[in-house]
Amino acid sequence: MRRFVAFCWLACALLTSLGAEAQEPAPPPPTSGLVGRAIVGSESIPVALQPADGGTLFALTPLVRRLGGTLEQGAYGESWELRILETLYTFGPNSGALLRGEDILPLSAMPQIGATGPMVPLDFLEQTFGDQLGLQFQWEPATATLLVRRPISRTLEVVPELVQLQGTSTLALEFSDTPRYRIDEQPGLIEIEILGDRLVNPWGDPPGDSLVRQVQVGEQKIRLRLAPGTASQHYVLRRPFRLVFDVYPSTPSGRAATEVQRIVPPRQRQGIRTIVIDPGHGGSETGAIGASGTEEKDLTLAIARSLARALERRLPVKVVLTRSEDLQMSLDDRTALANQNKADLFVSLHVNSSYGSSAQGAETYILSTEASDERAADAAAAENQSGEGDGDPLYDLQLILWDLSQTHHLSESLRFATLVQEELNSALELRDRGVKQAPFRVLMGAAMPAVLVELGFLSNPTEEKHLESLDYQNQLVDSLVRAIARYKTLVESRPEDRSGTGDTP
Amino acid sequence: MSERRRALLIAGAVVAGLLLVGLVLWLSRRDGSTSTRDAGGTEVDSTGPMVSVTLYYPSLSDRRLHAEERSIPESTREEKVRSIVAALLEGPQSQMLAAPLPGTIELAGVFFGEGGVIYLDLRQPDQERPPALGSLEELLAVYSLVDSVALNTPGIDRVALLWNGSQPESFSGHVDTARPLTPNRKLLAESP
Ligand SMILES: [Zn+2]
Repeated sequence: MRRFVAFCWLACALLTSLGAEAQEPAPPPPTSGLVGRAIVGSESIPVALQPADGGTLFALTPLVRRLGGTLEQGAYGESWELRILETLYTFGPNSGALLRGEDILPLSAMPQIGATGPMVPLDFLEQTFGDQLGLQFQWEPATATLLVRRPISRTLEVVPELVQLQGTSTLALEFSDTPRYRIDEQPGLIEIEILGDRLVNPWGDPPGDSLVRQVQVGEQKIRLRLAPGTASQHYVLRRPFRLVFDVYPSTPSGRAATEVQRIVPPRQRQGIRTIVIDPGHGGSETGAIGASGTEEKDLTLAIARSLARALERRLPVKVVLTRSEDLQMSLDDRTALANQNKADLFVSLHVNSSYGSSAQGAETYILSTEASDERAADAAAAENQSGEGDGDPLYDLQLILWDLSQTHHLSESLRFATLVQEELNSALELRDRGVKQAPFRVLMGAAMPAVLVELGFLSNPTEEKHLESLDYQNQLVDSLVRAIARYKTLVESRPEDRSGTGDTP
Repeated sequence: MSERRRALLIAGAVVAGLLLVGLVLWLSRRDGSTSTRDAGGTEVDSTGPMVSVTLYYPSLSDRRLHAEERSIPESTREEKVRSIVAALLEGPQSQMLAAPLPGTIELAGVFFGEGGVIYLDLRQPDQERPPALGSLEELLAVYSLVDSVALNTPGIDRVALLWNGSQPESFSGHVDTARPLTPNRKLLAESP
């Protein structure tokens, strides 16, 4: 129904615009060289302007550069994509519609594409940056000045909750809306500065414990005082927005070697030492089959073997293959093997196939967030049904922690996947399509950062030929080794293994 | 030009126009009836009340599912689901789209479970396992079925896919099918 309404809306917008065009003269051509300025805080930045029917249009690119977010042209057609925090906006020239997910927000004037990128009306800025970052936009035509201000307008409720379980204190700060914040960590003290908004804490500060001595919620700052000899990491959970801190003794003796170590994110990670490489498919399960008969299972095994050799030659790591011959193996057994080996990284290798023959290129996948959430919900439901968790608050907490560890792995997986995709892009000269997410079974349940790499398309005859050649295979292996080496350096140069998600500068 | 000649020309044009309109009407009627086959592929009586459904087929050119409208006879919920799956396997009308799975695959059973879950039991004669697919094909095939069934059937929130009566961890080695799946709207193309 929503799609239908959206369609009608678009159709109406299109008809109106066509009608307008038929009756009135075409809008004036873009005036080149018309430049105003935007005042952001104490900074003045030049912004190209363009007069339009519904009001002035402003160049989006310099504003994105200053205010944050990413702007890129969509993969299909003329649409553009603006991402601010977690929200994706889609828009295009000659349409007065701004899409936010499935919602359609009307604009007072149609965006245009100028020499330096999209030009957008004032209410575009209000409905994107305004909504997401709590910014106010004021246009003063007389001086050609766009004032961008951050009023203290929102009052956010925050509920802090502190629990300690087997040597780890977990503090969850639940916000009534997504805050903008900055985290400052010093020995013994963590300060969360709230940018723009005002906090209220209806339930009061929770009493401290042996690791988190004090939690203090102020109007614009939250202070956590930690016991000496502790370390911490934080991550973000959504719906509702929660900023979570895990605080634990930084010395190994301070930690109880317990079950919890298995289910919370690994904090004392000493680096990337064991890598599990998973050649996709095998045995009677062939995977994709190319036009000239190449089978996915054979390619993945050949490339995995050569990757394992290259890694062990070039890096101080132990490599485990889930299969080293042509045999069938379940997906769950593959992740179980990685977990048993306490792997620090899991890389599943595949070769893709599509319905048409045009698709090409290598792509890196991580588990989709929905799949991860649904799996956690299924697990919780199953446990509840079995009665194991009934009335045991400790048990429920373990489920929550399992969920937290999955969130942690997902952010690390994304970090690693980004490096893999970067290396593949530069080696194969691909247009960056970014890291993708999919509900792939083999990525579920891995207790470590896990990615699935699709090395190319067997359904594309040219690419099938490439994939069969040893030179091309070596290029792929080189890219993967470089990505793993970069990730290893990244992890090992971090003083603490922090996820860092949700930090907005 | 004489009056007579002009009259003849006009009459000829009118007849040709009428013939063309008739041809178009006849073709469109024929087109309409081919899209209302039942699971067995036999022609069904399209004189009864019909309902419109939106089917989602994998695209040959982009990585999305594209919508096609179909009219199917109004019937029970199970018959509706069977018609939807049959139409998907029979294939799209557009040349730019594909059937999600080979047409030799059959829908052996349809079961309505608790909590808005529907179970679709698929099989293919003499095939122990589902077809071998790349991950993109599998993703589109699975959600072509899930989205087409769930989004057209009120009360159905999740779709579980079975092969030969049991639920595989994955159909073709990638997508998790070990649990009922919720529709994936992100795979749907923006406009039909
Ligand atoms: Zn595969």
